[in-house]
Amino acid sequence: MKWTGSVLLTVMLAGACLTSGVQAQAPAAASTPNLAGIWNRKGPIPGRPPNVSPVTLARARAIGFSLAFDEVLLPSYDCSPVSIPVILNDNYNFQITQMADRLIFRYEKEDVVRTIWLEGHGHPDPGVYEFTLHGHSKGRFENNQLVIETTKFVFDPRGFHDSYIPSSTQKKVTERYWREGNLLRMESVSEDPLILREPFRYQFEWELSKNPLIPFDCNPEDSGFARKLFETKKYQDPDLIHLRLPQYVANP
Amino acid sequence: MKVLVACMCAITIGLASTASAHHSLALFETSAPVKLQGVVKRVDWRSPHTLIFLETKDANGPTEWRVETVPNSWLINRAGWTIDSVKPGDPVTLELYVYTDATIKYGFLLRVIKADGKVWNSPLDIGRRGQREAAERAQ
Repeated sequence: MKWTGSVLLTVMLAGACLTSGVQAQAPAAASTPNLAGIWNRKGPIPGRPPNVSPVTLARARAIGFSLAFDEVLLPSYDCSPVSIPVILNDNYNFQITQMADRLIFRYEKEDVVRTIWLEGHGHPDPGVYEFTLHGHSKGRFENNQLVIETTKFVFDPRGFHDSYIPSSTQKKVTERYWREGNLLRMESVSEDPLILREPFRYQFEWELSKNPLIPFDCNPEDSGFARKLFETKKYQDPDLIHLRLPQYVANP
Repeated sequence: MKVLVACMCAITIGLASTASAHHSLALFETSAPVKLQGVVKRVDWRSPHTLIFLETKDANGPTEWRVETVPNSWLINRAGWTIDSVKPGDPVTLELYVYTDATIKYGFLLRVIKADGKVWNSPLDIGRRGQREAAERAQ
């Protein structure tokens, strides 16, 4: 079975990472927190205000985009991954591999791999034309926290929410991670003055896991199957928009 | 078309931590889940959906259904499934939302009921979304 093979491969890869990580993941300084490990999604940080959806912060142009967007155009129908902060909010585990000059974030969600380039190691900044789905992430350690700032994103039709709240090339995401025992906690602040009226803040915690990541293993045939059905005239009817965006529409 | 920005706060607070869905449930008849009895032919443990292919039989002969559920990691990490929970050859009852065009045998899984009565639920943030959509249509 393909899944079984994938799991075996993951276990072997995880083992290899753990083995090699003993050398590679040594913190650069005594004050550097050790964030390495596989992190199991747990929940919002207790005692904090509840997370609020970025939909509530969207400017009118973002809502207009959402209402006009044709689901058939979703990049996910071709296995194209989501970007941050969406991937931070989603219901998957992830792994941090910590090296002297960079950190690697590997997500179950769509098998995404991010590199966080630590400041002070001579890593070049991206060029003026270099925009990518996951942007360019620079990291530093500050007060026993890892602080990541990510910019240079391409436009993403669901860069803030899967109800097609997009993000622009002006999106900036700041993440702060810290350890509390076997918990990893994070606060993120996402700014995009073209899309959001105010920054979108999100906080969450994960617990250390001994289980390997489960490969997403996107199946292109499965991923695109529903798109073929949405292409029928019935689902192009604008009056049906209330089926996917009920929160915006009164008396459809 | 009226846009109710003002009421969005009340509706979407707390939704920030819900999972993103691969596609909406607008394709499915979410107001009336159906039950199908049959035998599992194949299970694809992949994403964006774990797929269960179910063979049902009636007077016209066998029919194969394509039934989507959530990604493999959600079933395993969030709902406690293993690859032995549903296997080829298992006689099962599936509860699902079916595609609105009955000529295409396609649905979205809510739960699997095994022959011994064991129930495997699908961990559905997307299901709650389906319920919201159904409630909207009922208004």
